[in-house]
Amino acid sequence: MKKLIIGLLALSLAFGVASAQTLVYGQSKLPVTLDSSDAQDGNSLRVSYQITESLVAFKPGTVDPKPGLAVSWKASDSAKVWTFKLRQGVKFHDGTPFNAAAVKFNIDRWNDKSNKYRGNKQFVPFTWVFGGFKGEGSIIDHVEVVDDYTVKFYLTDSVGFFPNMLGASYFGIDSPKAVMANPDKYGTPEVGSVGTGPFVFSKWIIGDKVILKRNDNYWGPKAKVDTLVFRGIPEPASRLAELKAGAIDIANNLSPEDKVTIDSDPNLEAVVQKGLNIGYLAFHQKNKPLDDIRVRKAIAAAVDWDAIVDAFYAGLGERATEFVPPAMWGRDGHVPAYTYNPELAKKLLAEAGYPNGFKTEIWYMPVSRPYFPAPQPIAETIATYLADVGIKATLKTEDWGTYLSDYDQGKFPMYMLGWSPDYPDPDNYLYTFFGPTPIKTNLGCESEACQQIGQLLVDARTAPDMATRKELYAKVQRKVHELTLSIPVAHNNPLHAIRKGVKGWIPSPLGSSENLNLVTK
Amino acid sequence: MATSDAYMRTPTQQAWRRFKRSSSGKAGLLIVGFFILLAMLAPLLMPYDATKDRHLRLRLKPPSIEHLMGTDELGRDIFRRVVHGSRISLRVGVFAVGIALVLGTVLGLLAGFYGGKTDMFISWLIDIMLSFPSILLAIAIVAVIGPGISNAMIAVGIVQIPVYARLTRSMVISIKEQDYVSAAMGLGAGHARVIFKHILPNGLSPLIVQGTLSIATAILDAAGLGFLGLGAQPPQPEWGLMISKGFLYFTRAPWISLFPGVAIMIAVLGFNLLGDGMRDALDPRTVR
Repeated sequence: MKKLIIGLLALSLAFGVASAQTLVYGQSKLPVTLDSSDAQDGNSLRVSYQITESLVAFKPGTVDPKPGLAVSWKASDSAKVWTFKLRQGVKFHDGTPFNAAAVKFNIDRWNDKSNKYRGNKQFVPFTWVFGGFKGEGSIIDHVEVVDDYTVKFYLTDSVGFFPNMLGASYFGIDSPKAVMANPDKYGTPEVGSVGTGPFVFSKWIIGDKVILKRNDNYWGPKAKVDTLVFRGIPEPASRLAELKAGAIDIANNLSPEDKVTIDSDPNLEAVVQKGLNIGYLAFHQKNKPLDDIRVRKAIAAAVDWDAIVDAFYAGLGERATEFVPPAMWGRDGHVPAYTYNPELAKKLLAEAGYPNGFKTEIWYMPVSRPYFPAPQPIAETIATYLADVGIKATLKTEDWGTYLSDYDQGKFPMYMLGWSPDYPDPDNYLYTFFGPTPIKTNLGCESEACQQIGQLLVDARTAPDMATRKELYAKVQRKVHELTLSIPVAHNNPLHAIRKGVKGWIPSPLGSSENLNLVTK
Repeated sequence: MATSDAYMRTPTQQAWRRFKRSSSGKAGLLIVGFFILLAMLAPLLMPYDATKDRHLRLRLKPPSIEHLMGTDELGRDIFRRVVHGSRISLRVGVFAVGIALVLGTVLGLLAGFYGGKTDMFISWLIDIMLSFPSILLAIAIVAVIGPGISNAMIAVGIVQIPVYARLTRSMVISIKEQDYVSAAMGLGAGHARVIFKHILPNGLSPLIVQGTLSIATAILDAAGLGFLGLGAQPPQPEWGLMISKGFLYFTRAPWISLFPGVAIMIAVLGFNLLGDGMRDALDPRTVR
């Protein structure tokens, strides 16, 4: 009897291993939402990217656009009207067909504030990319269904990189049927999301994991594993420990200082990614005295940013001087770095009327991010430098989801934040940080100079040729430096690790657009 | 001779004699005394300003003669931080227990002395509080009043109220029936006088024992809150917070978390041993 049981057990184990492969991905948090266009963080988008797909995709590991749900696209001469040919024969996970009407449904839902299928969603990322909602600055005027597999986008102005924008991981096309069934709860743990991607939403156990199953009807390369599990493990050290123990197969965004540990473990393999990210310290000028340029310059001069990058990036990161990383075009290239000069800082503070400093707050994110692998020690270090010149900065943090909805409310006098691009264009950095709306909400700056910066970015977006755009972006970065609106800290090449035997995983320079259907175990 | 000696001793002397015979009590007193001394002398011997401490070139150095417990991720000397952490932990322990002792005892006195509806209401309140796991209740309280070391202190104090309330209530109920209480009442003493002059002093010893023991729990709970990011905030050298911060570097520099952990262990052990000794001394009826 005992032998029989053991035999059965061995048999089931053998078959179990052979037939049901599970890939477990350890990231710093579970998603906030799976409604991709309402998600602001990489942890949400990495998961939603497996379920819903955008019209435009990117070649794995690069920022080169390739056909996604659209097979080809063409601009009119003025680049104001874009025609997209859609992939035929694609079905959503719920069996409904993907077609031009579905695309129009999605765009209208995001673009039109009066659309009744928006539910309680804010779609903030849509405003980052397209400049606002319809009638409030959105560059998308309307979408026209030409035939079942052709859509035309009518823009309010010419935009040469429009397909790149649509490729941002926010704009996964959701099944209209699923959205209409429950607009409020779409994307929540209860309902999940329904798209056309290589994985189908199966289950989201709150606070534990998200489980996805292979989509056997996927139009592209079918997933190599049956089940894909995402887990949220906040501490990089715990992620590494779980990877070592074999509880997860991929651990992303590890502490750079752990590279030595990973290299010395025969079961693990380090993956250093070419990063396109930027980590920065922002000032919200609604908080006095940060509206005083002398105070901001004093803070920039009080901190030894080089020492911070040396200490906390273990040689994998580099000091940032501009908001667009060196690997991307659209830089001025000559913006000087803020140099460490506590004497200058004290002098500037005295001039501004704060010879003995003042009290303020620095907010840091509670989770490690690609651009800030160790947010709390970095924040602590910044605070000690500020203490040296008399500024008493209290360190504060809050839940990551709340953090992301609070930073643009003016609640944080100074805050650490960063960015991995959604589409490969300087616009995606600069417009997101300093566009006409963000410069007001995220930085609290409503001065004329700030409005000019916003306008320059609008101009750059619609400028006809590269040379003009390049010059405008360079100008924006010079002005941002002059006004010290935010302090660029570092560009990091994030460190990840996989179990030996995991093959085909290529982290994306765009942060979350990973093709996990190509991964074998 | 021995009997007449015993006859001559005051109760305090008797208690001290019993305490001296308790080896755990002596060990506890030694440890606690050491921590108190450390906390008092720290600012004199090695002044420390956590808000300015930073030596990025000395990051993550292992323990050495120069840095007895190594350095942390900002290059700060862990020994210095652990020593100054004792100030925070002792203060939290004492204040939290103070809050609990005062409020809990008052509630217990009221419930035990007046009985009836008052007793029912207070006991009901205490039962509710006791039905929560203590650390969970503390987290809930901090979630409402906001994180920070003083709020953590209040939360840990509130959590411990029911222990004292129960203890005091049962003590009052048994003492209330004693002849000397009836005598005082018969002579026309007011309620307040009876409660504070006759009942409380005679029931103080279990409260003192409990107080010593729960300082250990309070230190542990406060460290737990610090670990969860709800207690002390960086850059304060609070032990629980130091452990959680060292976690990021645990594979490379385990000493960052190790030494504050050892400090918590020893301090908690010290107060527990001392509490045991106090019980031996003050509560002779306890069977060991």
